[in-house]
Amino acid sequence: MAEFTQYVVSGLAVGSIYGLVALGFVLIFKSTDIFNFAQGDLVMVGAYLGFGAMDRLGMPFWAAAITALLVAALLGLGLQQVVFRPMLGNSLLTMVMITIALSLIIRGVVVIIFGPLDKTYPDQLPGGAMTVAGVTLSYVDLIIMGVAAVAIACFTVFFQFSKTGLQMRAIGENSEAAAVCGVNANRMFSVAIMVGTVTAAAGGLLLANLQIVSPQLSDIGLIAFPAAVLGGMHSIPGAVVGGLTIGVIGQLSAGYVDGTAANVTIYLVLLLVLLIRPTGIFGAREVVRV
Amino acid sequence: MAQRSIMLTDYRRDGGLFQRRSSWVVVVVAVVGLLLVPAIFGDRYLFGHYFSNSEILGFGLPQINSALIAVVGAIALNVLVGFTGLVSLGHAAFLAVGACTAALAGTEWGWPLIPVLLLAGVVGILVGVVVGLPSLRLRGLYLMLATLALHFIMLYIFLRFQLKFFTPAGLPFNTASIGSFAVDTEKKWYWTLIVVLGLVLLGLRNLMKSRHGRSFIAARDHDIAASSLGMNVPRVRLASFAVSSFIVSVIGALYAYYLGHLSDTSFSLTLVIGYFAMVIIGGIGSTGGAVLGALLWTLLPQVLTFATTDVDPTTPVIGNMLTTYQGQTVSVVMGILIILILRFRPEGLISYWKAVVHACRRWPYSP
Repeated sequence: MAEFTQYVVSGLAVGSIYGLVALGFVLIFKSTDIFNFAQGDLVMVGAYLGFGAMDRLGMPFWAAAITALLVAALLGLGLQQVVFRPMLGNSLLTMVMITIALSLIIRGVVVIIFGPLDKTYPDQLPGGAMTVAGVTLSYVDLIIMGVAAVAIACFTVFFQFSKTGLQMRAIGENSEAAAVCGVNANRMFSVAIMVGTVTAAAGGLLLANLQIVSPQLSDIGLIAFPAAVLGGMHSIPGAVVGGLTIGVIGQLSAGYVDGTAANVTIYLVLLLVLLIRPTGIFGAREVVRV
Repeated sequence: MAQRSIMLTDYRRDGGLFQRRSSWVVVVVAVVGLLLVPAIFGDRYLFGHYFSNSEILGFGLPQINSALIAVVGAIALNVLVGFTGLVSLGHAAFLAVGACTAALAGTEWGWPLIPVLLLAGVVGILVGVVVGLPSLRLRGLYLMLATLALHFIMLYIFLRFQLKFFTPAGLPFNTASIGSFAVDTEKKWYWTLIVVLGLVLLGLRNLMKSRHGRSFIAARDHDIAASSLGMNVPRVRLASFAVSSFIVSVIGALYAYYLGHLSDTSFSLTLVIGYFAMVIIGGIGSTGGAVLGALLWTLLPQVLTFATTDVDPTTPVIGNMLTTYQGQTVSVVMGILIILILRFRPEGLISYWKAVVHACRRWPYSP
């Protein structure tokens, strides 16, 4: 039982990162209809930005994190203005291809700037662990869960109570009707992509405390898709719940079966969800008119 | 003033292989081109002229053969994504199915090449129909994710298969041979692949001119209208999966024979995304586009790599970047190029060719 609880706890820690990344992914998808294949690469960029700030500018972790998030926001704005804005309104597949191209560019540029070797953060979140009822809780895991929870809470408050949040939800619901009501669609798209990039970068900064910083970090993007689908592609709380669930499932199958099975189990769950309830846990059934 | 026919006026010509007199020109140019390729890139000699490395951009027949395999793969993916509108990321998995079958039938049981290829195709059809089942419920993005899930699941099965029957290093393959004709040189591979490509092109062209091909397109454009016209849309979708996966499995088996050795890492998601890119860059829903896209996607990195090989490392700013991170630079350039193509030609590369053909037909009138 202790073993099981242990897997669940570490699954929740990884899952809260997945949730954060999936949140950004869903946000971009909901407001701009871009299925962002480069979400995982943005996570990697976040991790590398943090590394760059620590290694080259000698900052402590917290300052590096803030710098990385600011740079990520600027990057998001740049992506929207240069790459996505001229392409909006194209078919879904064209947009998918654009994000794939983006991921090629990002991976190349990151390796060119930082070199091909794996990195570890010179200044990490405090290590150590405490034991509660036979379950080891590492401080890193607890901090990750705490930070992710705070970030998600902030975004929820932002979407529910701020004017911009309301406008963004309106754009996500029906962009034309929202534009008629005077919402600046392009500005909302920019905000969505900036927030999506920042959440991805935040996920990267947290993930870098659990894993080595390498271009492989972008594989987390492949976990964000199942998380998003599980929660419902259009639901922001769904993304978080999906992320946590996927994290726990992954840890359980890695623990009880073997490491290579984790991905497969996650995708098996994705397939089942798609076949049984394609709209996800929180998704509303789409009404299609002929 | 010469009257130029833009439209075809009878069904016999519409169904025919050569619709216009100008089709023959294209065929002759293509045949001469295909004959020249092994002479130029293989022997390096043509009419007494020796081609230096830089004149042929550092290409050789191996690169061209790999490109031909990619061309067939892209054409098959286009049947699914382009003609039937089913977005599938399970492409690499079908290549793996073909390779698996070839390893079992060819290496283990010692079957000759042709039966192995046919068996690979049949197994491909079976797996394709199973993988296609989600397409009966899901469309668009959801189908894409379902096939992505199947990709990971099938690769996991492949890895288990590889570890159970072969070594962790991968699957070994015999030399491909048809009767006593052993396909063991690059030149022989070139002609084998050209024959396969020709068969696939011919078969698909006939298919798409038939009732079945048109039902693929109808199911893509409006599934409800198609079913109200009496088409069995679920069956059409499964048929499209079957056609596509048949071709892919066969080419997967050939690819395995060509490389001689394969492992689970040969079928990564990068490979799938590459095929996807070929179809979209070339122009969705066009066989010619798939060919162009596949050639661009496989050959351009070679050209770029070759172009950056002789760069002096001491060139300011970019010198070190181009020599140390050649692969990365190439992928960045490819990425930028894709974005530019899609920005200015969302219909893909084939639209350039269509514009040329159109201008020729309309000549001397303005385009």
